Amino acid sequence: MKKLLKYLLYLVLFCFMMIVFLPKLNIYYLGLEKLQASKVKLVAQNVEDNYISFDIENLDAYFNSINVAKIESTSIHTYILSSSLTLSNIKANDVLKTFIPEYIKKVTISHNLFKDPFQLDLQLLFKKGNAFGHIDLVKNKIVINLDVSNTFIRKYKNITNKFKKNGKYYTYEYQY
Amino acid sequence: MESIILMNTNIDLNILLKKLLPFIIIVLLAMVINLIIFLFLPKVHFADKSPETKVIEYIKYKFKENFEESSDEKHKSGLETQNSNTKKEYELISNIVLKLIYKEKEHSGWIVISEKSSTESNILGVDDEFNSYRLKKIFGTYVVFSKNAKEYKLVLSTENAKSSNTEDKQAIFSIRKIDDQYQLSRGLLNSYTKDSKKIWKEISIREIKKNGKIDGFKILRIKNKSVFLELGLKQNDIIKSVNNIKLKSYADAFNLYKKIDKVKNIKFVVLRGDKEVELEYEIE
Repeated sequence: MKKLLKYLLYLVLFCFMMIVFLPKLNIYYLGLEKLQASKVKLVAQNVEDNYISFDIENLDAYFNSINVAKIESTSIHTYILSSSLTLSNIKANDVLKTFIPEYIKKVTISHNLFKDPFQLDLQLLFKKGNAFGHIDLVKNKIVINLDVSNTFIRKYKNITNKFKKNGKYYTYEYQY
Repeated sequence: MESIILMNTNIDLNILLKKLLPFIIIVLLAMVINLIIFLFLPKVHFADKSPETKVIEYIKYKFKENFEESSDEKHKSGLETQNSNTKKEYELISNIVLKLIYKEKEHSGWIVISEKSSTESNILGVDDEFNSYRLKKIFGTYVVFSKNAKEYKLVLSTENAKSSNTEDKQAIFSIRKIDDQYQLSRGLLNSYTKDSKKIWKEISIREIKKNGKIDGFKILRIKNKSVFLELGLKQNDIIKSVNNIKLKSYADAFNLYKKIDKVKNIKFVVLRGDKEVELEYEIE
């Protein structure tokens, strides 16, 4: 038992050190290059590698040279057993405002090994209301539940007409 | 005594080193692995600057139709049939004369028809039948019937074309408001773009300057019963942008005016009091 605990400690330390020494900035550059192939360009004012987190400030997202969104802060945290990606203060371009809210307070995508290793949890916080859901990595399914007002449903009907009323929430399921 | 203390220290250091060695190896291993990963990754990002931003051409994306088309196969086939109906060549009905069309809304209204061999006229609405032909759609100058899953076109007879000219004109020069959006006929738009004097008879505008630069155009006057009033514009409105292009000079306005015959949608952003109002028009 003592030996097992010792090896477990070694494993945890190894994973932690891997996270600390991981060349996050270079992985970010690789990601940018891959995205550029899909005409998506991300331009950040400030990028910081903080050992167990990676922070991007004032990120501008371009699609086909069109500025589609501005994200004030993006943060990736990894704690071996759980990881999360948080995007805060997202301002969408005017052209998208009939599809999505112009301002999204926070978007969080998280993964927890204990909760479900094959599931990513989603959480979106709007000015008024929120949305939550998950991505099932085994069934290749995305489920989003909207907890918003009827005004929101009417305003973004181009998107919300795909959601089905499910008790208190409006639910959308997408198989990819 | 001194030698005993030294021995004890030596033993402690050895034990400590022995205990720490696996941890040191783990840290070094993680460093080496990450160093290898680092060698294969890009070292700099060559274009970490904003691309030259494009001015987005305002094209209204018919999201509902397109989205449903891709997501719902059944609906897709339905839409295809609809689209093909509008594009396909209809068979013509030769033994029936279309005397009059009264078009109320899209594909609705009533018509007057008769058989060539008879003088008796019949009035039909949408979905009414005449000689097993069911009236499906009403257009400005023709109607579409269906019979045995086939569609037939009946064109307004030239003798009667003049008499229904008023109705045609109504269809050609019309503004309709559906939900929050206006539908504006191309004919009406063209009647103004071809005769710019007509515009200035009905509306007068003046540029608004902010810090010495043009920051929009203010509507000083709109003539009563003018088409601009029907379009939702009001006196003292300040037109800030058209189709997402900010009006910062007369050249901007003129460039828009030159392209107006090609656009399918027009969106005005207007400053009314302290609120920004959007006015959207779909050109039919």
